[in-house]
Amino acid sequence: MSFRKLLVGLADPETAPRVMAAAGSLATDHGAHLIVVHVISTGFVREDGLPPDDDSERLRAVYESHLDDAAFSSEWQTIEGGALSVVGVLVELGNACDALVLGQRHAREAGRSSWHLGEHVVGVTARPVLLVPDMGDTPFAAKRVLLAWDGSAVATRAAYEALPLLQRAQRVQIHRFNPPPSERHHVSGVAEAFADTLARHGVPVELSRSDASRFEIGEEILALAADGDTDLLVMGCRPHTRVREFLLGDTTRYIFSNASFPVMMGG
Amino acid sequence: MAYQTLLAHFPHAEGMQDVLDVASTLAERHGAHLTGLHIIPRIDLQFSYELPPVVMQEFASRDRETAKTLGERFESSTKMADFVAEWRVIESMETTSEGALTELGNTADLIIAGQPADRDSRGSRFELTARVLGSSGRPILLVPPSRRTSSIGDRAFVAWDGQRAATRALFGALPLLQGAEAVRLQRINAPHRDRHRALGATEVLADTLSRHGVEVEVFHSDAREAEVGTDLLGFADDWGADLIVSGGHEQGALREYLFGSTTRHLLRETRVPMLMSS
Repeated sequence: MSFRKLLVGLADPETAPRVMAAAGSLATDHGAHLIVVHVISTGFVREDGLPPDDDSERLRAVYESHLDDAAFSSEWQTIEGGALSVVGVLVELGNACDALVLGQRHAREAGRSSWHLGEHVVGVTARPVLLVPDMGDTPFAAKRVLLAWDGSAVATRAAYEALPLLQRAQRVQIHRFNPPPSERHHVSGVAEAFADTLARHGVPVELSRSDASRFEIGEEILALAADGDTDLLVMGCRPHTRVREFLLGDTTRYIFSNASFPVMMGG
Repeated sequence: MAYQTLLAHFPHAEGMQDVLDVASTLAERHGAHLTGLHIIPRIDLQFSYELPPVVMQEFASRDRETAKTLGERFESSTKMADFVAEWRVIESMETTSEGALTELGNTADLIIAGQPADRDSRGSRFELTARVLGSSGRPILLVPPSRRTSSIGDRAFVAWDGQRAATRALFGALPLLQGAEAVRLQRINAPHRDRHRALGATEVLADTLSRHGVEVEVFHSDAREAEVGTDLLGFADDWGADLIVSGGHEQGALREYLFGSTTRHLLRETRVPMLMSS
């Protein structure tokens, strides 16, 4: 299976080149068409009170610089958010695509808003989001994949949504986080069954497991990623509820702040 | 893409044939591994304290008999099949089958289950498949008893409101849609969402599906929540659908098991198999 349509959200001229490069690489590999958008939010206010930069021209230039020799088809759109927020536009359009590609920005610079697009889109959209790190020059590859799975609906959906990437990997390490002893475990062998199902889709799976407590999962994931020289992490992200709209779960936030490799978040 | 692993749930003999037919058809069509599953729920401990052991043993042996009978039926039905079929019985640690079905369901591409004959219990917060729909990470294909058509997936009616559940159902149904002769994409627009039309998400979706080999005919409907369910089934029936794809919506801020009126209506009244996701 392949991704056939990707929504690429460009927001920050500094990270946009890496986002475009990763999206272009995916598009070439999968034969996908890219919809590259910059959403201008009319209601956006910076921390320092100044009006937001209009980066449309710079972003469009980044997009166009990736068109030479491109082996994929694409289109550019500048969209005024209007009554819909930037997140709303990306979610609305993203739900009509196979996946979204956004920048994973975890550096906070003085004078710029700490509002980060990616954090608000994941958990709201129904499609997986590939977050491209804002540091490093490593081209996007996804050969050694780490799939963090705890048996939950969220983690399960993330895995299936990432299937086109898993199928093309050289190795996919499914790391099963066991439920704590206090939680009932209804069926034995679910991790093996899950691995078998992915294997039937041609995914080269390996299964490992641990009993990390909820508070350690983020750290454990990063440790596993380092051990395995991971170039793509796939994990679930719990949906936002109205109360928690701007708060991500501990693990997700930890990964956002500390992962230096691409992460595909689904659920 | 094809379904490679299917999980069909058989709680009792009633409705087994319908589910078995659909599961076998799909397993054959996709070359999938089919697991037939029977779950024996634990007898309620409160209830059992009042019963003498011999009665408990009677219940247990009856449960095992049922499991054995269903297993034999499954095996004889799939014996000569081209696909790999596996029968599995699980004794649940709980008094309901929900946990076990959810856990195992998460290890399959698609869950196939029947609907209770009692229409009123469908979609209720106590009904098993409705509960699993809310907790599962995989889509569920619900097979109503005495369904209207014998084919499945020739004419697929896809209801899409742009929200999360419907989107998951739609993409979860992709292998079915890819094999369809005709696919109708019914875009449901709630009146206050007019501004979304300018984005053209529905047209983007139609193009995305086309790139996956699925050509769709797009129809729009604007309706209020109370009428949507009725309209959808009406449209689907008139169009001759043999499969409906729809999100299973939770209602606002209430807990997962209370479905919106549209979902409840679809669950109760559909005469064709329905692929749903929450």
